[in-house]
This record gives sequence, structure tokens and C-alpha cells, in this order.
Amino acid sequence: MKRLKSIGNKSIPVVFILLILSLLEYLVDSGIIKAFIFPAPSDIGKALIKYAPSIFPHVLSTLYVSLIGLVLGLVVAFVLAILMENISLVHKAIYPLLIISQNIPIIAIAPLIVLVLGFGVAPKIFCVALACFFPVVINLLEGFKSVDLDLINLIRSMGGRKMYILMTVKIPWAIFNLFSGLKIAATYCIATAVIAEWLGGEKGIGVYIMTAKRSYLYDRMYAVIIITALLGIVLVNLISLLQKLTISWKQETK
Amino acid sequence: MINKKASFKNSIRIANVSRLLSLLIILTIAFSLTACDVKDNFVQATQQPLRKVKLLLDYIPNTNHTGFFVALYKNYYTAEGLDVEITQSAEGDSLESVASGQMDFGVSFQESVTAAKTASAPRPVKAIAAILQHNTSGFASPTSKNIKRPADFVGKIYGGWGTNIEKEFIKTLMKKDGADPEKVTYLSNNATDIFAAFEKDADFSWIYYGWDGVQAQLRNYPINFIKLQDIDSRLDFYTPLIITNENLINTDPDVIKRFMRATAKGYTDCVNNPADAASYLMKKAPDTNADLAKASQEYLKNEYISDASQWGVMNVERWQTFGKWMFENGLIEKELVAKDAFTNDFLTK
Repeated sequence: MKRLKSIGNKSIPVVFILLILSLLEYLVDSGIIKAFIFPAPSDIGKALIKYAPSIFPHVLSTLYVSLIGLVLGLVVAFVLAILMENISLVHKAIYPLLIISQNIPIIAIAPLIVLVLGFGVAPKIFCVALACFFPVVINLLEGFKSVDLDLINLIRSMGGRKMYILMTVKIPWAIFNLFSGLKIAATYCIATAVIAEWLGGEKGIGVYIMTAKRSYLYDRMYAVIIITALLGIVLVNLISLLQKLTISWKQETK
Repeated sequence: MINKKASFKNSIRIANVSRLLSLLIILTIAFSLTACDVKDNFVQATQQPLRKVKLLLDYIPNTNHTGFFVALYKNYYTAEGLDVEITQSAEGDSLESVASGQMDFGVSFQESVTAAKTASAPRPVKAIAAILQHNTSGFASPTSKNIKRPADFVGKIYGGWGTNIEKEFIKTLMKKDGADPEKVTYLSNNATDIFAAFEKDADFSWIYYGWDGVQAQLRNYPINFIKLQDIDSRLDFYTPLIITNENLINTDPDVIKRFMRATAKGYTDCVNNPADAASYLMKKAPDTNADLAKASQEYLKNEYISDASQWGVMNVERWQTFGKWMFENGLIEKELVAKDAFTNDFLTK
């Protein structure tokens, strides 16, 4: 019974997507949507298969940038969150800057970024890390704040100091929040990498999309967009898996 | 009371998490090191080391750039002792990167250079060659809109990028044709796909005929095309063109001469053999539309040199006239000294 229910739950989004695709196919075939504006899903599917070998190196390049950026963002977020948690001066100074960091449009400062970081992978990794560190640091700080005060007081009463409390209580407690933040970051790290490829470079999903767009080859463009979406889903699921493996003790309390 | 077994389990968990985090940190550092482009400048013992030179395109590779790729793949650059690294960006203009010295050469436009030289903080750049001899841009519209002359813009919607210069082009054309420029609606839709734009909101758009115009032909999509220079000859400005920074002009003019010699050869090849040229564009950017590339090269073969004595040469009147037009229409704050903005000195006769 539970098995059937779970299969049922998983098939609902699939059925829904298939319905939308069939509708789109009909709209394009009948000419209601002009084919040069949006190609038929069947044409996109054909392009996906036909151009997969030429798309692959671009996907690899973007994935590389996304993952390095994600991990870099994670590390920076972790270090920053700990510093902010332990030194209130740092917290007060940095917190507003966090919000500002997310509101600077990349397009505006693109020439500045490439001036400092060049035209290779560095500026793109920087942009991805910039976008990814934010949800992780915010979630970690929330996690630290939410620790049961009784637990902290108990350890303090037994002589435990700041560092010990951090290592044994705060961090394990907040790891769950870290994973929430990481999932959010992972959801849009690939899309951010794609946008960052605007800055420069020959390889990457973003470059492929721009080339296809300027070449009026929309079936290829949407094929790549589908791949991007799928990659995002896979990445988030991988992180959920990682979460299950590392902090299964939290799951037990559910 | 803290459960001893639970606390032991928790310390294992902490250890696992710490190990995981340490592993991630090590991986990040390891990958970051490989991410630093360690370009192998392996030089053969019998050869002189090639002089490294950096070129930045204005946009993703298209038929305006083919001469560079011909020169690259046919080894015209290496014959001049140059190792040319071609970078692309979607920025739309290379001027700032060339001005800062990060790039030696770039693709830009007369309106950009004019604005950069007359800005309150003028940029140290100079135009050194015109890629196309005449302005191939103009206003395109589907024939169904019946826009055959600038006076027909009245009551229509222009879909563009929202820049002042576009408005001034339209105003100038309409005034020349005796129409009221106030009667046009301006829409910013960043229309890089004019066909989609024409379906929805825009009646006419500004295009370069060599790419979008050719695409319309390939698609059998009939358009009316009003070339800027046909209505007002002041608008026959050089676009696109090649720029360099003044630092390079002062420190190593010989490199510029050599780069230009090879590049001129590349563009001249584009004139003599457009089909071959297209293959070099496809080599550089294999995901480009091959049919469009071929057709575009066929159109541009008459535009790279056109009626000039050689590829790349520019004349001062066109810089002065267009500079004056920009000044009179409030697009620049100071008048342009044309001789500061361009030079033919680096073109070999």
C-alpha cells in the first residue's frame, strides 16, 4: 500500500509534465505558436539526441564551474558563520554586507570582475561562490541561534568553554541547517554559472545558449535548457543523499 | 544527565563531519590549483619564442570576426611571430578591457570610441582598422507593417535597447523625411531575435544586415530595410572596427603593425573566398549556424573592403562628420578631435 502510494506520488509530476509537453506539441503543430519562436517539444527532443555529443563538453565545463563555486561558497560560508557567531563585532560589521552582496547585478560589475579575475574560470567561480555562500551562511547562523540554551548552559556549568560548545553543540546542531542552505545553493548554482558565462569564455552552457540564440537555433537552445534543469535536480538529490549519509542521527528523531 | 553512549556516538558523528569538511576543503584547494590556467608555453628549441598578444571580441564569434580566425588557422599570425589569444565575451564591446591594458586589441565601434575619447575621463584607446568599410546597419520591419521610409515610423513601435543613440538615429531619419519624431513609441526589449519581437510588440528594429538581414532572407521572411547611411550620409560610421590601447602604441608599435598585416590578410581572404572563410568561423565556433555563416560571409565579401583602396583604411571626414553629429545631438559632451581617435599608420600599404 505504501509502495503504491509512493509510486503514485512520484508519477504525478511526470504525468503533469507530459500533459504540458503534449499541449505545447499541439500548439506548435497547429501554428498557434510559431515554430521559430518556440520549437515543438519533439524537435527539442530530436535536437537533444542529435547534438548531445557537441553539448557534452559545454555541460562539463559549466558543471566544473558550478561545483567548484558551490564548494568554495560552502567553505567561505562555514568559516564566515563561525566567525560571526563567535565574534559579535564581526557579526555586526558583516551581516548587512551579506545582503548587499546579493543585490549587486553581475551585468553591471562584469567589466570590474574580469579586470580583476581575468576571462578564464576564475570570474565565473567567483560569481557562483558569491551566490552560493549566502543561503548557507544565513541558514548556519539561524542554526546556531536556534540551539537549545539549556544545553549550552549545561555544558558551561560543567566547565565547557566557547570552542568546546562550538564543536560539540553548535556545529552538529546547525549541520541540518547547513544542508538546507546547501540545497538552496545547489538549486541555482548551475543557473548562476550559466549567467556568469556572460563574462567571457568559449565553453559552457551559457556560451552555448548565446551562440544558439544568435544563430536562431532554438531547438538546440531549449535542449540545453532541459539538460540544465535536469542537472539541477540531480545535484539537489545528491545533496539530500549526502545529508542522509552524514547526519542520519537527526533523522532518527523524526 | 548526558548519556555516555549517545555522546560517544555524537563524537563519532562530529569526527565524520569534520573529516568530510576537511576533505571538501582539500578538494576545493586542489581543484582551484588546477583551475588556474597553467598554459604550457612550450617552445621548440629551433624557433624564436612567439610574442603573446591578446584580442578580445565584442561578442560571441560571428562573421564580423572571421578575418581573425582565418589569420589564426592559416598561421598568418605565427608567420608574423605572434601568438594570438582570442577571447570572447557577451559584453557587447571590448573597449574597457582594451583601455585598461588587460587586452592588446579589441573589436569596438566608432560611436563607442568617439564617446570614450570625449568622456570626462577619456580612455586611452585608438581605432586602427575598420572591419567593414561602410555602415551595414539600418531599421528593419516585416513588410506587412508597410514601413518603407522613415516617415512611416509615425505611430509605430520601435523595439531596441533603450540607448540614446538609437533615439537620435530615428529622430535624424524622421526629420530628414519631414516627419515628427515625437510620434514614435520606444520599447526596450533587447531584441536580439527580431522575428520574435515583430510577432509581439515591435514594429521595427535596428539590425546589422549582414547577420539578421541575411537570416531573414534565408527564412524567406520578407522585410523592409532602411539603411541609415542611405537616408543621411552622416550616419555612415565605421562599425565594427579594431582598437588598441595607447600604451601599446607607445611601447611596441611594431607588434601592432605585424598583427594588422596578418589580420588584413585574413580579411582579404574573406573577400576572395567567402565559403572557405565560413569554414574557419565554424572551426572557431562549431555551434554556429553553418547556413547562416555561409550566407553572411557571401553578403559581407562586398563589405569588408568595398570601395576602399585596401582593407581597414579609414578616412578622417567620416570620423569628423559623425563626431559632429553625435555632439549636435547631445550624445557626447565635448567635440571629437578625429585625429586622436583613429589612425591608419598600422596598416601596411
